[in-house]
Amino acid sequence: MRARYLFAGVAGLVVAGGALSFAHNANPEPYLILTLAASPDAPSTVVAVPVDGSAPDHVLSVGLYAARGAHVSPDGTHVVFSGRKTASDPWSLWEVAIDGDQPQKLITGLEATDPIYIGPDRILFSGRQGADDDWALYTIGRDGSGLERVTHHPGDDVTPGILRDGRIAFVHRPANDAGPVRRLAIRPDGTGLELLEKALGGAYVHRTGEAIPEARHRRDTMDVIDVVATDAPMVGRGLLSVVDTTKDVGWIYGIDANLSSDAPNRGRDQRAARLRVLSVGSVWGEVKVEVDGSFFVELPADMPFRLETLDAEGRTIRGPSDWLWVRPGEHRGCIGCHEPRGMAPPNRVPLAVERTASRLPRSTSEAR
Amino acid sequence: MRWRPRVTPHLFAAVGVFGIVMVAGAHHGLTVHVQRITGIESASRNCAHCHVLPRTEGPLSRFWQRDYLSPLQMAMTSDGSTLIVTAEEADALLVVDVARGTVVDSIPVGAQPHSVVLDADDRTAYVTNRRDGTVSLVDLHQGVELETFDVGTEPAGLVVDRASGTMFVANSNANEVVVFDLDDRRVTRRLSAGQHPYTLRATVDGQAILVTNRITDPVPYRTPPRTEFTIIDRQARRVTERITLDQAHIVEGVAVTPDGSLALATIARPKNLLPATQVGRGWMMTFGLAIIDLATGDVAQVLLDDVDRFYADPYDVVITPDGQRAFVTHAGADVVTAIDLAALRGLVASVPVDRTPTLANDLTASQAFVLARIPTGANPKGMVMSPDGTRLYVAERLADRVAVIDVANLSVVDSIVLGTEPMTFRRHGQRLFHNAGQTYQGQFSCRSCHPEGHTDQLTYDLEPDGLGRNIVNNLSLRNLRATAPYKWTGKNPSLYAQCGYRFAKWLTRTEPYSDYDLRALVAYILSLEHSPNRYRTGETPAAQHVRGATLFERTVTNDGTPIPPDGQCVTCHPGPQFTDGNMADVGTGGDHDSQHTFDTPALNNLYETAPYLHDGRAATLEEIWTVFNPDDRHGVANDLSKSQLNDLIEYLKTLGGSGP
Repeated sequence: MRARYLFAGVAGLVVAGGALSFAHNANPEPYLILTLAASPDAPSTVVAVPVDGSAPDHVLSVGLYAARGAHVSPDGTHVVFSGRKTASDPWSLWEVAIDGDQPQKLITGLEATDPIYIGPDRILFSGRQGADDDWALYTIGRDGSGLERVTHHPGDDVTPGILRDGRIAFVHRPANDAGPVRRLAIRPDGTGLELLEKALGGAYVHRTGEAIPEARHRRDTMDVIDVVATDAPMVGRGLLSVVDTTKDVGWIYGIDANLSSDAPNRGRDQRAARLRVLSVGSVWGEVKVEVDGSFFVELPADMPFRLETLDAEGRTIRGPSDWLWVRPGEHRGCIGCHEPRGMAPPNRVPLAVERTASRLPRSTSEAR
Repeated sequence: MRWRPRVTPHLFAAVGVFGIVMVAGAHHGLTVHVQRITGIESASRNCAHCHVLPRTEGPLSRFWQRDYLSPLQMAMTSDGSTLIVTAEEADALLVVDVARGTVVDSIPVGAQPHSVVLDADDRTAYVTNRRDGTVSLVDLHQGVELETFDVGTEPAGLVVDRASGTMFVANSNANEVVVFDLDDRRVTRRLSAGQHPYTLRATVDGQAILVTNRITDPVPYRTPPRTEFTIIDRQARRVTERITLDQAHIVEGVAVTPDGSLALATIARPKNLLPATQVGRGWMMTFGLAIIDLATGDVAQVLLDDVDRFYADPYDVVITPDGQRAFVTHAGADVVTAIDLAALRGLVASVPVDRTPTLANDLTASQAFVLARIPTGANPKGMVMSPDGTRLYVAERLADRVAVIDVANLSVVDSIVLGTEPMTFRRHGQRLFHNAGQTYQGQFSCRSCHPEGHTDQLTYDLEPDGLGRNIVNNLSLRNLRATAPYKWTGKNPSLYAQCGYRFAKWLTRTEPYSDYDLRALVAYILSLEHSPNRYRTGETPAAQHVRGATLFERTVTNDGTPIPPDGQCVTCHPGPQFTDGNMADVGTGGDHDSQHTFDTPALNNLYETAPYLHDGRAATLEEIWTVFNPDDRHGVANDLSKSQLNDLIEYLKTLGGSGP
């Protein structure tokens, strides 16, 4: 008799364990995550709608005055969105389990919007210190730790999205509207800045606080502003960071500063002899351009700069370039100045990297 | 009343504690063991991954290993009914009934069959066997190998000249194309080719034979690769033209347009001279076609890649009978690219000659002529077109299948299963090795720099140790077992570390391999072996090799002065791998090197791996001692006469591989 009980108990444990294991491993129930608003001017709400209609819809942004920009975690179990508790609060980041109704605030001290998951444990978003500051891109851990700014140029960086190859595409509007609105891309650690689209129309620019796009669908009495599916989350590749936080400088090298798709200034077509590095409101200095057009320069990390090429008399040939930055420890390679986006580099040894990197006359500490 | 020993609870407790200690101890011991072997802290402790699944020999290995076919290249009978397929890993020629989609015969041939050519009557086939150095003559009706011809070392490409009763064979490991007389059954002429000749293709008029060469010609230190495209006059049996494909490398497949005007050859364009600071936009590798005007010898190059997506390791190219379309297999991307040839011709014609170098780096150019990217099974290699030009057959080498593509609709319409399906551990690693999916934007596979697990014979400037510093000579991945540590700096105690986190961070620039994938990849790499050593021929070593061996092991100089142990070759290069696994400073460190001690390299099949030294500075073995050893720090050798040095070098070439 005891043996029977023992056998039954073991069998029960096995079955229960198996069921628990299955339940744990089973894919979560698929939902559509809708952002709804009664009108274009009304505050919006984030709602989870079971795809199979097996359960009623439930609000994810419980307790918030407004919520928008939902993004689904790579495993499809959580949603992060921007929200605010009152109409006058700054936007912040909130995360909630897909079947939950208690969103957790992830960040304080920074206005934050347009969050996206960039891996199982990390979120990227657009944020700013105060209402008069520029929007920049930041990353933060899902537990609220490790806040890091990853874009560093004047102007607003908004509406980030993750590309299949793991890069982050975002819209950049230069400060003071000095130049066209562009779509840029970076790796999630802020390295590898590159241009995706040169000039975007105004419709691409979508900032919290501005008029939202006209909704194309309605659900009951609400406009459907946005829809994402939990069983098809936007997941990019998990690109490893090359940022070295023990360093406060990065490096940029160019293969040929004379190669450009832009015309030279005032018809000057001399070969570049020097490269001038400009920062916001100041000149950091000049470095040598080698006879093959290459240069290699050490720069303070996480600070915006622009480059222009000079002839032997110090007159500007081309430039200044768009705003650039290097992350700590980043080695950045360029083919030329304003190189065509579809151009692979030539295969040759740049003279400049045969030598150590040029340092700017001003020390990096002064630059900071 | 039953007696109960009072010690029972204590005994149970003691046994329990002992058990816990044993389990914890074993766990700790296992952890220490794995970390010591792999050099990485997070390595899994699955014993089978290292001690069972990689094993390919022994009676029990049949439980976890499978025999794969690995179809490589194909021919088709003139009526389009039958495919003849070389099964590289089965040492067999497969006869495939196309209508039924089944293998109807498997004919044993030599080791590692490569190319196959059918006779005019479709009854006999000629097959090169790379590992055997032979060509098999096969009767397809009887299903037997009729005869075997010794042709040289690692025969790859083949053209049979029926009119003259000869065949031309690319002996890839000997850098030659031999003319073999089928009546006399002997090699009648040896024609010097480029480095590692690979595919042979007759021109439309049959007057010339085109030869692709896989490896760059020897080039000055830190200058771009430059690969020869050889043209042979069929009747005169001599090389008439050596066209240089600047910047091109790993040139494998070639096809001729039906009008005979152009040859299209697959190419890689590596960026090995640039610091490897980034991958995107072709900063490490691009892939494309060389378009060779056969009338003028002019060459244009175009890329098959897109701006944000790369199509690694193009292997074969086939053109439709009407000359309208071309198809290219991308073995590292599991894709066939379909090309509008008129558009390609138009693009090339529109670019002035002085702009062709720019065209060769233009990642947007493919938009002008690519019709479709057709997904295939793993590792698409050789192709053959049906005689009516309606179907394209693609050997999916690591899927053991043949894909059937509708040429009009540019889609896969059928799949012919040739062999086994289950995936073994090693096969999984083999697929990973040959697939660029692990690399950012699919830009390159392991195979891109290590063709067939060997070396591309280029030098690279990797980022972590500084730009322009610590140039490294790419090493072969063959015979790596028992040659740890790895890297020239000796920093990696195991291949798990070599191919692990830092590899992903600094080279592929994506996420690291999963633990399972990493172990499977390492298992595959450790299974790679050198080719038979072509310098070890005959039953007994040549006298020169004996003299060289004496010099290799000598302990005194020519004048009788004792050579200290660290000046004797054999001290640092003992057999069987010819490395002691230690670091050594042999005076070759340069101003750009962060360290001057380097991992002592293994010397097996040394003759295949030029250039030499850690940074590839020595173009030849001779230069190691005549140029870069002024102070006898790399072995006492300055007293050697020219003929003695020749003896030593000829002996070194015999090290490793099979043979006497």
